[in-house]
Amino acid sequence: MQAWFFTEDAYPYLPEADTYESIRVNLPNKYYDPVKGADLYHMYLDLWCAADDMGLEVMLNEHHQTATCVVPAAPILLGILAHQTSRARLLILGNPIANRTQPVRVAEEMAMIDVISRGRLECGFVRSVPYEAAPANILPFRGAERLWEAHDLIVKAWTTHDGPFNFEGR
Amino acid sequence: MLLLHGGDGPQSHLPFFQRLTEQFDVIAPTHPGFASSPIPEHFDALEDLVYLYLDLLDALDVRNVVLMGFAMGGWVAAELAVWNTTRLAQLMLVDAVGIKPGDRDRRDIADVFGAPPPAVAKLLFHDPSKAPDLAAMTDVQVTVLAADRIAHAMYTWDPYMHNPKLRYWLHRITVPTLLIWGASDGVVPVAYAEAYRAMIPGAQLVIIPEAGHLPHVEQPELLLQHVLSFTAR
Repeated sequence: MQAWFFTEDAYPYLPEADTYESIRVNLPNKYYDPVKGADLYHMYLDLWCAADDMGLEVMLNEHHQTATCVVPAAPILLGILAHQTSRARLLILGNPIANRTQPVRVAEEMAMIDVISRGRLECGFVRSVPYEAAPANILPFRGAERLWEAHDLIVKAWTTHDGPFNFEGR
Repeated sequence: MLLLHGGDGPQSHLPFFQRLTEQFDVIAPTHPGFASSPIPEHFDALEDLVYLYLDLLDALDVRNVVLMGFAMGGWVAAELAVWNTTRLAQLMLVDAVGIKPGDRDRRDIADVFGAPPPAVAKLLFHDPSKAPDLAAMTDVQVTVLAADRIAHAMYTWDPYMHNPKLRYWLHRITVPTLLIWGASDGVVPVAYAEAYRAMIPGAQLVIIPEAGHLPHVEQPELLLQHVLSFTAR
């Protein structure tokens, strides 16, 4: 059995709820205190490292423009954990590849993390949730097709070992 | 005749061009960015050329135009004919790019920007010894060539050398169309020409032997014969 540690990495230091319209998308970043934010990131990283020490696997996710999850780039945290942890499987669930314009970059990031962690990466892909279309400025229509096309390109990049390959997707 | 050059730049210095001017009133614009010309700030795609030459035809108020495009200029010509054929009499596409007949995993059009110069020479020429020798060029000539290459790339980089939608529009071309192709074209081989021909109603295809992607350089007389024969109809 595998047990996974996961935290959504919320930012809890919000003003009174009646002073802003929404916790997502249009919450002004003036409410974010970078000093408290730094402490939070350090705490979350310590938690993941502690999970690694206790024999748990770790899982990270990402969301955009929301105080419920202040990780807009899970691969960056994974890059830290790839070095700071020693044994845990490192699951990203996942990269919202329908919203990333360059899937080859995602393939590069994931390959790098897998190598730094000496093969401990578990790489998941997601389409993302509807309110993230605005932060990425991506048309939600055909998002599923875009996800699968990006998936196919990333897998082809990982599994082609004989030099350049062709991929002229939509 | 409206002649739209390819990525190799304006043709006015070539014997082929001189022979053409004996037979036609040739309008041969230089695509912005080529031959040391400036690129307008708002230009960033091939369609900017399409609208430029639609405007040019209107400004000159010419009719019965023979539209002839080479390689990238052939792509411009095909797009222009899709938009409006009312000023056109005939369309000729010489080793044109612009479509992608195959699937995403297959390269239909050779990568002329990524390959090293000797490999590109083999793609472009039936006889690669006819390729321009970079080492023999002056600094000024190389600088012009580099600027040509920047413009060429700007118009054709992504999607590479084609418009994914063009194949769905080519049926709109109602003027007689001839595709002329170098038998040894390594950039867009004859099979590509066959696919292009099949997408344009009534289009015909002729093959020029011992010519690569640039038959106006390697076989100017054979090319001229095809042009004269087609336009005499």
